[in-house]
Amino acid sequence: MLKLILALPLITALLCLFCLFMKKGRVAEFLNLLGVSSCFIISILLLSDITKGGPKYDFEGLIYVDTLGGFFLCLVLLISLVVSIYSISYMRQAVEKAEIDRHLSRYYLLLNLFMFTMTMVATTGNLGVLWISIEATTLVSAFLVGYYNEKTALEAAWKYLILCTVGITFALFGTVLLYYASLHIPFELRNTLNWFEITRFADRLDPSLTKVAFIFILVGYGTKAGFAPMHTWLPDAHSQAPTPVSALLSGVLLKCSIYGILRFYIIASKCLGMAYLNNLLLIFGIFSLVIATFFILIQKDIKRLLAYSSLENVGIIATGIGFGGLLGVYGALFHILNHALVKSLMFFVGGNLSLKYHTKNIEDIKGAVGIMPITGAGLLLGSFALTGLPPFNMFMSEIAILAAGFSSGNILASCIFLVALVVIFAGILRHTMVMAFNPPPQGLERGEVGNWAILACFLLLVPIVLLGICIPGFLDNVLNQSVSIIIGEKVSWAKEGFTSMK
Amino acid sequence: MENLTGVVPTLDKLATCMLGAAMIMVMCSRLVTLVYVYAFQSLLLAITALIATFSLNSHHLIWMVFLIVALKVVAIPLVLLEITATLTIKKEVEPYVEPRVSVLVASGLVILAYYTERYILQLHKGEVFTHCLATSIALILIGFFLMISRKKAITQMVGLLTMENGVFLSAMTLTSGMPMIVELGISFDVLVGILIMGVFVFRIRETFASLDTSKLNSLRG
Repeated sequence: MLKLILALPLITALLCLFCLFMKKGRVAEFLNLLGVSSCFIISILLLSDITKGGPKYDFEGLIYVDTLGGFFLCLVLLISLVVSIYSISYMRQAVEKAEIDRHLSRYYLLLNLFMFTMTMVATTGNLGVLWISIEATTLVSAFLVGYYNEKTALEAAWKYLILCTVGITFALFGTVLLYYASLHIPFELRNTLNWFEITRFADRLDPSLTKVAFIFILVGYGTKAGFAPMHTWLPDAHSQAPTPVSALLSGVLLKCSIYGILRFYIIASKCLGMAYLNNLLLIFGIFSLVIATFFILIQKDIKRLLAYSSLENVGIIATGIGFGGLLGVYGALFHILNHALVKSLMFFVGGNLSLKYHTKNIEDIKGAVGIMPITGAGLLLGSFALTGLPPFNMFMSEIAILAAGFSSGNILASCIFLVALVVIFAGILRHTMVMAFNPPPQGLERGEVGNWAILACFLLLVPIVLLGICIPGFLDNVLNQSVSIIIGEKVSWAKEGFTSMK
Repeated sequence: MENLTGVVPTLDKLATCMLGAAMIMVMCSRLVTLVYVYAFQSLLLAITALIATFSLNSHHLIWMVFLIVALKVVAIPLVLLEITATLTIKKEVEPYVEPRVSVLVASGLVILAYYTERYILQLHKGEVFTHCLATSIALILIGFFLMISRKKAITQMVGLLTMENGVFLSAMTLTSGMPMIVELGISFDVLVGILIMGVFVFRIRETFASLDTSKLNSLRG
């Protein structure tokens, strides 16, 4: 199963390449959907295997999936699946309206390569290969960001490429330093850079080296995860990429870098203790949150608004891990899932609107509920969920993180967190109410963008609502196991703590 | 490890030469010179790798020598020269930071690098490659400075490549090379990265009729 899940996107990509030569875009669409959905099913089976029977590995640990990796793997493939469904409607429309002069197969080829690189991130057991995969995600997705080939898209792609590559070079240096530190552990270890082996002996690493290595890693992968102040590529790339790609970037690409940070966090925390690392994460998290708050208030472009909201949520996730404890990490992991679902929905809705109104300017999009009833409803529900209103899923994870903050004694950070959330709540709802209810412009036809787009929105809405009401046992088990991997102890009361809080 | 002591001074000298090359990069404004200096620096890196191969008994590094020569000394500079040849203005005009000031800043960065190595990292006792580590930190910092202080896309790419040379230097001396598969993957990523940047450089030149990245400024806020 491990090999299959890595091979399938590559095979699909090859077939798409073939379609590109044959000029058969529709076939590529179908192949892509088939490939991604089978990958997703396999990943779910794999995850349920792992939760019962422990980690799976292959190729001397080059591939190694534990529950935490499996969680990210399923997340990547879930979002890829809905994005593939949405892409069918969106890309057909974009081609019809002559926004894109390139062939559909090319898009699906790149999309599959992109999914392959993200799958690699979640499945590898080697810190070096982790770096290679994260760098590869940048390289492939740069083409997707610059897909429109306009001035602004090129600018965004160039900034994205340069900034993320610089960041990732810092991360490489961090990896080298950690490898150097691991060489001095005497020695059942075989100098492999496999994180599961280094983790076992992590308490014997040199503290000062590990500290510097972790800072380089945090800054490096943090650039890719979109932490402020290294976030400047993020709004540009998210707003200029085709909408399905924006959803992938925001929903899972940022999370892949957070996964990279988490792997180093696990190693470093065994050597340095939690407090120091948590403070670092907290600083980046709160700072991102505050920066995002300001920019959300003044935003005029719907996709940039959503991009800054991603910055906010990355900040929330980092803050959650930074607060630490069972509740904080549980909340952060749960928030990773919730944000991916909600943000993809919002990007889909935003994409539908901008296709309909031919603009991304918030002031020009009016009366969405009247013109596009289903998209309009999605816009409202999505923005309620995004701003953390109950009974939606993001409320649950945000309240968990906030509770962790107060109970861990970080009163100041928790207060800033709370104020920022309230301001963002007001800011986002102000924007979406204008889009939903103002009188629509004259001469715009009623109607949705396409059936596939509606299907994708529904597929996302169901878990968004359900996860706000209850957490299914399987997911709870996965999250609990992941938390115990991160903070290194057996967790039993996270569930009770979480339910009693409700 | 007995034969190490004889080799360390040579490696140190090579590392210092790489640092010197980086200083020249900071000073010069002709793009072609910049690329040649980068190629020279990569050649020094390759020689370092060659010496490390035999003295540290890490024979898989020999592949790194070939890779560095093929990619960093030949292929990437050729791509960069190709791009430069299509330009009308072949100099760095009005950088954000003047060359003379840049040299001062770069010297400051070198001091910072040595400070970091000596007082923050505090390597294991008996570690002989402290000088190489400090140099590679300096290379990373100078490369980074080159990227943020210049406007031309080419200079930014060379800055990035200098940073990578720094990382490679520390990887080869301190850890006598990462595991084989990782080294291969990293080199592959570096090559592909530069090729993709090259593609974008051509696209930017077609669309903006210039390679001045300060003109890429329409996305704000």
